[in-house]
Amino acid sequence: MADPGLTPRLAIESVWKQFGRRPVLRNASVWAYGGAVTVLFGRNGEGKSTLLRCGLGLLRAGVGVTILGPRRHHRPSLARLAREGLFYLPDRDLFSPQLTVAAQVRGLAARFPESEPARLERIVPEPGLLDRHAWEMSGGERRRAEVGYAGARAPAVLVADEPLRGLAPLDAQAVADYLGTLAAEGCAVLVTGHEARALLDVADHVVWMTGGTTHHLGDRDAALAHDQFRNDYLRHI
Amino acid sequence: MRRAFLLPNLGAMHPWWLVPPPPFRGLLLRRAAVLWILGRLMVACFVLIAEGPGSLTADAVRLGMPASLALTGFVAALTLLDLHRRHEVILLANLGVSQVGIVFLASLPPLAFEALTWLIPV
Repeated sequence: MADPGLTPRLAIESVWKQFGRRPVLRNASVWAYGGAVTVLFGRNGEGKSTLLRCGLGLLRAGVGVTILGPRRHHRPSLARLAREGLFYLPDRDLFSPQLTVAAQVRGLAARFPESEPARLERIVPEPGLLDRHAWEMSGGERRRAEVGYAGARAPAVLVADEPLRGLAPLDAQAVADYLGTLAAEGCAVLVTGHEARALLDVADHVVWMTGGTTHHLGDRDAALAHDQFRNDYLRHI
Repeated sequence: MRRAFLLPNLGAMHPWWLVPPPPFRGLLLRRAAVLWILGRLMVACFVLIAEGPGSLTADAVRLGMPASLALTGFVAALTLLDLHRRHEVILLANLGVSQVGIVFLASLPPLAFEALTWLIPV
């Protein structure tokens, strides 16, 4: 259930999805609030990415609705949601391999005048790195640039699927802090990931996905106090 | 008066969503053009194999209208497939460009080149 004291900017609600005969999502819901980071945790294969992809129209759900601001989308399309201020960072390969990252940032600025390319430098300070193609970067550099690109869009809602994937602990912390900064500037941030320590540091709302459905645990402290979440997911953290 | 009436409607329709911003637009047009050339070479190979070397005359450059349209659709579909293969569809969607917009833009180069083959005297 959504936090009763807050109005979510993005709501992906009551999603049912099955692959063939195997049910993956059973009435799963997740909400993202303006100025806050919502972290969606769950073991591999529990359906975190599937929930996001269904909510953004990249997969067709059996049942479910996406609400972005005042609008309900029963058949969501990422392009339409993006025009309304959402940015989706997939778990890999955001950039076009044929253009330099700087050229792609220029494209972003040309399309959305409200974008803030300078934000990229907060997380990719290395000079000349953005003049490379994505395939000329290391995995960690590319991921940082992708997260920076998402922030440069200055989105109203950022949905990031495993933004810390493949990052060294120091870089992972920097990216998590960057997501926290975006939220502090008013963005509604919804992220998934397994880097519990770094993500819990910036989490305002924690959602745990298990058995195909979602459990809203509350804030970081409430999540850490949740016995089942601690035993079945976090273990030694 | 009429202009004032039209402009807000155009704004509400957001016609720009059909077309990607500059660097992506050029990339997409170039890719569709290359795929059209490959498609035409493929057609020429089929003609050569089916009817022999003497059959490849200037007249063979002009396809019939249905074949030209089919080739245009084929190139647009291949371009979309190529974008999916390179995971660029999500990037373009993040820029507000839907798959309809991609197909629309990718069909422009083959359509223009096919029209040229009809205009150039052989």
